[in-house]
Amino acid sequence: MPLIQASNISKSFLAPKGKTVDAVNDVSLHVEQGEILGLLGPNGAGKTTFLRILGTLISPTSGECHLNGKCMAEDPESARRDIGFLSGNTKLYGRLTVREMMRYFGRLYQLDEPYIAQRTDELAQLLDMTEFVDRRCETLSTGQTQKASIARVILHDPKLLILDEPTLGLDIMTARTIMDFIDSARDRGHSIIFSTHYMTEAELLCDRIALMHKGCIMMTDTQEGIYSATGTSNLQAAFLSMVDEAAETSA
Amino acid sequence: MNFMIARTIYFKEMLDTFRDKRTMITMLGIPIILYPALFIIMIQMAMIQESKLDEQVSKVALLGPVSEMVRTELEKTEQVEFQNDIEQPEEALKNGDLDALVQFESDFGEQVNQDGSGKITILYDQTEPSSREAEGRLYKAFKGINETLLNQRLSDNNLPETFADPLKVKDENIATASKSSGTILGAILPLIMVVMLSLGAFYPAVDITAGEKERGTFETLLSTPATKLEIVTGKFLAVFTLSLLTGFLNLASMSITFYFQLSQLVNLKTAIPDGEQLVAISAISVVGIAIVIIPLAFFISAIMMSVSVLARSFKEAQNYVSPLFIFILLPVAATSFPGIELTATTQFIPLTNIALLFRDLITGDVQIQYFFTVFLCTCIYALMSLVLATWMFQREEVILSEDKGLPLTLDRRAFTPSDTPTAGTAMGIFAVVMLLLFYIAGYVQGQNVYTGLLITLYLLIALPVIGILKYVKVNLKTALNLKRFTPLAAVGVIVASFSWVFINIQLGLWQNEVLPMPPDLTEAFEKIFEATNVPLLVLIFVMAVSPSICEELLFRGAITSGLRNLFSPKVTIIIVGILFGLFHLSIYRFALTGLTGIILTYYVVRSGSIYLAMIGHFINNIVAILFEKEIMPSSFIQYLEGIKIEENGFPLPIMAAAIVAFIVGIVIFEKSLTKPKTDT
Repeated sequence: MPLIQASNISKSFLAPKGKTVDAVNDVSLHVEQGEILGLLGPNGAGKTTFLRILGTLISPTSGECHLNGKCMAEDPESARRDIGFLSGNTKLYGRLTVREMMRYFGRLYQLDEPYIAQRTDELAQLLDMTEFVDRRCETLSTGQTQKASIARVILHDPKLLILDEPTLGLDIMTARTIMDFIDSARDRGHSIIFSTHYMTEAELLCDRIALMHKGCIMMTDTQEGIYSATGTSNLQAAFLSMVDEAAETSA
Repeated sequence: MNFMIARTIYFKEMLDTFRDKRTMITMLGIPIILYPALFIIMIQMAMIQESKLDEQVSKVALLGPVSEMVRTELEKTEQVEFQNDIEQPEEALKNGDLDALVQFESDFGEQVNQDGSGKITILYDQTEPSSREAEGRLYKAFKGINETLLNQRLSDNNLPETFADPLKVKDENIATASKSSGTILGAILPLIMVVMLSLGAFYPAVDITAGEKERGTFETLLSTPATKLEIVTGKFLAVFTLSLLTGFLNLASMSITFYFQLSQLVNLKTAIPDGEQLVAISAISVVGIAIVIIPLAFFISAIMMSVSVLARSFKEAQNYVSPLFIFILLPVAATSFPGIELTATTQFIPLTNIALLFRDLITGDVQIQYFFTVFLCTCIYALMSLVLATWMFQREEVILSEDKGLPLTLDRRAFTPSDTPTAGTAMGIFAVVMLLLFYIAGYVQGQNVYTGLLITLYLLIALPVIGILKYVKVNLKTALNLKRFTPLAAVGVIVASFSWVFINIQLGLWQNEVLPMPPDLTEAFEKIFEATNVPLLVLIFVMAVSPSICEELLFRGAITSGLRNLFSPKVTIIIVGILFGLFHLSIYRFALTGLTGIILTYYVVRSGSIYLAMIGHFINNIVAILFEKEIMPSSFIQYLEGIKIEENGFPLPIMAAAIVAFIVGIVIFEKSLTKPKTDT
């Protein structure tokens, strides 16, 4: 049984003048235990909306998601206990220290106080944060902020990590921190779904890749599978070839 | 809802706010340090100016023929110096070289000597304080001279002093100094209070909603197991606390400043009788103000939050909230118009009512009925604004908005079908119905009581309930608890309801001893039943059948099923009971209707059928009609007259029988709910 299974997910938004916009259109995906699934697509492809649905931040217009076989819509709060959600947009509370922030999120996940304290110390060691764990988040450098964000995401040891463009706007060194973290998280048994429009990141990390365009999944397969299906040798070429094919079909 | 999570969010928001220098300076620093400082400087400057004027010698020139006697008397005036060698006196007055000119008419001396009126004109510059002071001194001096001359004339003619005063009019102000100052304070304090509460709520409301969106932490928070209700509760309580805190701190700082500084200024001008305080508000009034401030702060905080959550940045939120200040202050400022009093109409106007109540509380001139209604109305408005804030937080397009413009829609397509309304929708329906009652029901019932009641019940209660539920795509059958019931359950409810009527009457009599209903209210109530031209069946339809359908659809239908989504059965029963009590809009009916509401809600929560509550409600009302119209066996009427029920209540055996019957009814009802065991 896959860890998470999304079936026929669609999401429409109301646009001005009574029009509707289909941000996600009949998307089905699954992620296995200990697997990294990359969600690739240009800006406006619907990646963020889809990942927000998986993270139960918003509800789908139609379709269902199951986590560990349980329908997430029935008890989204409980589903969120098994999910760590991080996006390029998610920030930290500047006026709290890293430790205070960890305590705050630990309480929101209803973890025991001693466990929160112990886990914070563990993560501070693991992510090399001991120097700044008692500093306010507003004083941290970009790299330190990313480390603190990662610590926040894995504080409650979630089974599934949803990472929405986690390296967006980061310099190479900081982006590498995130990439290393994703790689090590898989080794620790976490399942990960992450979106990006940097093809090289996906090539380096992903077990399987889903190509998304205009709210639809065009293909989900391993890198090799995608290359052989499209007759290309890299993801960028594969993606462009699929977009062209889709345009021809619709024409 | 998990209150521990809401509490965690609350404490985090408080800590976050206390660490935000910008918010702290604006919220606490400016009002606490700057306003009193400005006030002190202003008062001190006024006092310095006042004493400067007192010490200043007024320069005055006399023009025209002045008699020696008048000149001698005038020269005795203190702080006035007469200058006779000014070449162009009128120019000098304009330039400020002179403070006033006294112009004597050419025949002044003759007129004074021959029992006529010597005409004098004092020329001064109204815009110059020193000139005004000189005019005052001269006027006082001439008044004295006038009296001397008059007395001289009377004595020359052997007339008594009273000759010139056929009438001796004396006015006496019975208001104490504290009441007089209370009236002034009553005009200023509500405005200051609302401004302070709004300022207190403004920055936290903006910071923890739009500010959080701008900083990108909202998405982080939404990804945790905290529900939106827990988030909005935690955040709202923080805004509410900070609003109250700022309000009280400012009130305290203003009061101290006002008391010490203003009393200094007033003491210069007015003599306060011994043993009397300048500002004396009774302890009861202070408690009253404190009680009403709580829902007021609640109301303002929720409005501020509802508006600022629409914005995506701190700056944008400021743009939305700033005009809101005008809408908040306008109804408060309107109370300073002459003739605006707390009346049957103004008691319902949001903010205006509370400002008027504050004024009455300060002057110690408040009526308990108005206090209750204003408190109730403010609670309802507060609740409505909280429902609005909660609703906003439930909307994805508001919380995760990335597009420009107000991300809000009431478009029906945005609602997903459901079996029961959310607690927010249920409370929203309650608020809408209460508003319709406030603004329309009074008017239509005033035109014709029976037609008005029917319009109220069907068009202002039942129709909005069904209309709103349909609009938000809620299944009416499940939402209104339209479920069949067993005959045994009905028997239980009928027995319990009949006996409850007796218990209710007895409780009413006891309540009347503690809180007697004013005679005019009792009369108004009895008048409805006394109309002889209305057939009994019509009366029953209007007063018993219709309320038991329409009011039940609202309370035991929409509100009960909505609140059950949020609260346990017990808590739901109590809250719906309280709301039902409040709905009757009278402190004298609150407790009894509340208790009846609790019992009716209990029937529905336990059985899932609204029809049982309708039966109970109908019995309650029809027995009341039969009692009032005295449609009972004559022996029973004679019995009631014999025991003097209104004075003594029911005898103990009857009460005991009623309580036993009530318990039996409830037992039968409960018995009907247990599923029969099936043989296997």
